[in-house]
Amino acid sequence: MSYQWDFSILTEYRGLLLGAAAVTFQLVFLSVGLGILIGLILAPFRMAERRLLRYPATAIIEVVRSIPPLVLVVWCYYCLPILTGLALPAFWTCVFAIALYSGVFFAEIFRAGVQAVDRGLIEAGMSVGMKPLTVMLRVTGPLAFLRVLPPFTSQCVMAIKNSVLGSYIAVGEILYEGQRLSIHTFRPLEVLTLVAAFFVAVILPLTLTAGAIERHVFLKYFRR
Amino acid sequence: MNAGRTVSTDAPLLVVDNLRKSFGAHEVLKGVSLSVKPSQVIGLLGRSGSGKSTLLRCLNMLEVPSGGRILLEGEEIGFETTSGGRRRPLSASRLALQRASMSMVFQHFNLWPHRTVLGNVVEGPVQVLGMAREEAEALGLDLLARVGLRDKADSYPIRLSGGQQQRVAIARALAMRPKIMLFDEPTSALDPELVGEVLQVMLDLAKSGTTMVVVTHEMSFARNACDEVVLLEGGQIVERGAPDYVMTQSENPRARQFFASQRPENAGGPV
Repeated sequence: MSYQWDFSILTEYRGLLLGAAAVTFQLVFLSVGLGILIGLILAPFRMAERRLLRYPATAIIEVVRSIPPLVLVVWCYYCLPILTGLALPAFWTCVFAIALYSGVFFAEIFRAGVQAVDRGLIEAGMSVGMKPLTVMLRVTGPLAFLRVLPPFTSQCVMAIKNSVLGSYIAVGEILYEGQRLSIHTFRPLEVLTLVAAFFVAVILPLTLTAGAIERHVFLKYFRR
Repeated sequence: MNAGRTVSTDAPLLVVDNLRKSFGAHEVLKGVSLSVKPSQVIGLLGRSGSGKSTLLRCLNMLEVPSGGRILLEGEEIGFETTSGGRRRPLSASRLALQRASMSMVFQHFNLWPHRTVLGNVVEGPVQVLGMAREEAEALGLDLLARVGLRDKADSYPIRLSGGQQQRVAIARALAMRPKIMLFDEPTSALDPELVGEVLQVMLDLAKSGTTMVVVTHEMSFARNACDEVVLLEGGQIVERGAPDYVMTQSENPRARQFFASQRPENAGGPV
């Protein structure tokens, strides 16, 4: 290859790139946080004995997770204002769409975790007089979370990576600003390399930490 | 028999009246009635599938009965009668309060793996009874000493043997200061060499006047610790009375057959 790499443009435009990284972080924290909240709200309905509660939650989960995330972001941006009359800024539309998309997966992960908790441990809580909410907060919830740590981490990683979908609706996150910069400087390879390195730098510590926590939890509580 | 205790002659602590339980079309309990006096130890015996565990689980509403009533100190468990005379299930929080006074020990221990041994014991007193953590921990350490596991207070359950886990489960149940303790085959999941240590703790509890209902296959324990044994078959009580009478002198053919089948493998049991 005769391509001459020139990363100097990255330092030249560092202010722009740092600003874009900050927007990505905001997008990630808000969408993952809101996604977890959506998951926590949907999961109990998904597990409810009453069909009236279970069916709508199941429908939301099945419909949303069958839509490609890019389609969901673009659909929310163009169609939601027409349907609801509510025109959100591109940033908040992106937060909402990614949160919704992640939320339905979080709901399924939480449901699987709760259902994996040994019924006997729940009955032990009931037998000492715990109310259902106390059982959920002190027994089922913590044990379910310990069990679903690996898929939970994977879903967080997916949500972080999905933040780049904001570039399709002009949210000034790292990929969008990077693409603008590469057009302006004719240096797309350097810019894309930076974007890739940025996500590795964000995600790798997260997965390594989660892996270490998972090993610690397994050794401490579950392995003889 | 009777472990050297005095059973109260007062009114029964627990009354079970014509209890029925069905799972779908299968009727597991077909009208069971019994009463338990304060400090009495009742052994529920019977073959697998006779309904003894279901009966025990109905007592604290882990299984909701299909019919009949359970009264603890005169208060109906799990149901209330409205001013209009209609009988309806209790709210979850009121049922939880009732359950707190009848702690249960399970076959598979069911210790919470994410809490230490002491954490398991103090969880109920702190979360349910609202006891201050320091007070609960002092109580918990006393109870762990009572079951011989004071030195394991900071261990996690996974590091304990089955017998030790079951003794922690007994301490956890005792920490609620229950009016009655329910044991659901507490030694059935244990290796034979670990059965004795659990039975010894239960025998000590019986001697100290704890009111207990015990589902067990340990005939020697039933004979030594119980004031009364109840033999269930096909969801009905077929014989009841003092252990010596029921196990050796009963004229009931089904009782004779059951205890004859139990004798060889239970001779020389750990207690």
